[in-house]
Amino acid sequence: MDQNLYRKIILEHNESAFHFERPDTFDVELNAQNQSCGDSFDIYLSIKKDPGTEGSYIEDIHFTGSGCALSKAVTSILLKKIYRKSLIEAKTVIKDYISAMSSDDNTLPIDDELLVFIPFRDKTSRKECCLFSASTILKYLES
Amino acid sequence: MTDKYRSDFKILDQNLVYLDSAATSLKPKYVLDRMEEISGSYISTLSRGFGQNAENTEYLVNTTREKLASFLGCLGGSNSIIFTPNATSAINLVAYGYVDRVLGTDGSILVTNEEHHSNILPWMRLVAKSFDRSLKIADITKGNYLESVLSLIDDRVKLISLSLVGNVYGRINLEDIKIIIKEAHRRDILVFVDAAQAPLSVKIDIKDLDLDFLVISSHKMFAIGNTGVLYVSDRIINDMLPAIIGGGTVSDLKIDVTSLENSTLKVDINTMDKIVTCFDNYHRFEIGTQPVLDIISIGYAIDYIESIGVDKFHTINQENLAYLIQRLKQLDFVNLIEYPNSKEDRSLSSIISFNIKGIHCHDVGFLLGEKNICLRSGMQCASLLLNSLKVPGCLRASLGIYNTQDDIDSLVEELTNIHILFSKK
Repeated sequence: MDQNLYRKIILEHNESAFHFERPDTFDVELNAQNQSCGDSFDIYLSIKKDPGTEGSYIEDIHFTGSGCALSKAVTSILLKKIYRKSLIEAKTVIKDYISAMSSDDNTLPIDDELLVFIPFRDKTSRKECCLFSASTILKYLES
Repeated sequence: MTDKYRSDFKILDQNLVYLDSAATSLKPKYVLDRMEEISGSYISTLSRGFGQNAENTEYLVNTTREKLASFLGCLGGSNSIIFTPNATSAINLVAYGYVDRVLGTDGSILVTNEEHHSNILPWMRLVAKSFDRSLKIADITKGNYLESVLSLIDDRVKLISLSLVGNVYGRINLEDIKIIIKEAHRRDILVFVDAAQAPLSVKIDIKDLDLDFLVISSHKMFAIGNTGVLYVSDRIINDMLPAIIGGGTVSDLKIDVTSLENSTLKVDINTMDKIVTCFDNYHRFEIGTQPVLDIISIGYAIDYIESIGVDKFHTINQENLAYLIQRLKQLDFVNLIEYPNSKEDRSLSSIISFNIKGIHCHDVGFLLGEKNICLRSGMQCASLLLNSLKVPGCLRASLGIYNTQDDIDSLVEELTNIHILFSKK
C-alpha cells in the first residue's frame, strides 16, 4: 500500500478530525472500543425530530477518545457523512460502508473519501481499526 | 557485530528485517532440515506402538527430555520435565494442580506489575475462588525490583511468580530473583519462574536457583510448534494433581462395568483417587496424543543453541541492543520505555520498547510492516506495566542472533520516514 493514502486523507482527519470534542449537550453517548488493542472513542449524538417528516435526524455529532490514525480518520469521516442526516439515511451510509469493508464487492455505493479504507479490508491487523466505530454507530441506529 | 549466523536462517534470504524474536524466534535451517528428515522417514505416537518407528520416536522424545534437563540444569533429571501445549497451559497446570491447595482459604500470591497476562490471569482466577485470598502486585516502575517484591512478602504469601526476563523492559531479573528465592524458601513460600523470554539471554541453572517451578516456551528458542516446557521440583511433582486429565496419564482405571448397579458409576473426588492411579512424574500431566514432532524439534533446537553457546547469544544480542538503543536515543522524536536505573549492562537482554511521540504505535508498526520490518506494537500482553506507566501501547524491538547493524539502520531510517510523514501538514 502506498503511504500516500495516509498523507492525503487519513493524516488530514487524524490531525484535524471532524467535531473532535465533547459537546456541552447531547442526547446519546456511545462508546466504541477496539477489543483487540484498546483504542476507544466516545461518540455524542444530538437527535431531533424532523418537523417535515415522521422521522428523526442527527442534529449534531461529536467524538473524543484515543486511537490510531486509521481508526480516528474512519470515525471522523463517518461522523461527517452522517451529520445532519436522517437516522434512516445515516443507517444506510454506515451499513454500506460496513458491507464494503466486509466483502469483495467493489460496486457498493460508498463515498470517495471512505474508499481510502477499502485496501485495509484485506489487512487482518488493521480491518478492525476501520470497523469498530461504524459497528457501534450501526448498533445504535438499529436499536 | 557479526552476520556469521544469518545464513543459518533461510527465511532471511527474503528481504526481511526481523525484530520480533521475543514474540517467536526464526527457525534455523539445522532444525528445519532435521524435522523434514524425520517427518518424511518415520514417526509414531508415544507409548502405543511397537516396531522401529515407535522405538525411534520414543527415543527421540526421551532424548529431548534429557537434553532439556541438562540444558536447564535440572535437579531430579528428566522426570521433572513436563511437555505442555504451551507455556500458558503450564502456568494453569501448576495453578490448579498444586497452588490452589497450598493457598488454603486466605493465602496470597505475589507477582510484579511487569508480568505478562499469562503470569497474572491464572493466579487472579485462583485467588478469586475464595474471598480472603489475594493477589499482591509489586510496582517495579521506580527501579526498585528487589525491594518492591521483598516488601510485600508476609505470612500469607504462599507463592511468588516472577518473569526472569520482562516482556517490555527486557531486564534480566536473575540476580534479584536469586535473593527472592532464598528469602521465599526461608519462609516456606513457593517460587514460580516464568523464563519464556530468558533461555537465549540467561544460562538457566535450576539446581543453582533451587526453584520449585519454571516454564519456558520452545518456539521462542528455535523449536517448531508452541510446546511449553514445565519444570516441577521433585519435592512437589508427585503431589501435584493433573488439573486436566485424560488418556496416557493413568496406569489403570479400576472399574468393572459388570458389577455396577443399574450400570451407573457413582464417584466423588475421594473415590476417584482410589479408582484412578496416576502415573508418577511427567507422565501424569501429558494428556492424550502428544505433538511428537514439535517436542522432538526442541531437542534439535537445543543442539543448535549449544553449538553456539548461550553466552555467545547473550553477547551478540547485547552488542546489537546497545547499538539499537544508541541509535534510538539519537532520535529526538522517540520515547524509550526503559527500566529506571538500567545502568547494569548485563541486566539487559535483547528487548527495547519505545514510542514515536504523537503517533499511535499501531500506525508505526503497520507502516514498518509494509516495509517488511517486523516488530511488535500494542500492549505487549503487559497491560499492568503499561497502565502503571500511563502508556497506552508501545513498539517493541527484540533481537536475535541473526540481526545485524544493517537491520537496526533500516529500522531507524524507516522510523525517521514515518516521523516525517506524520509531521507534514
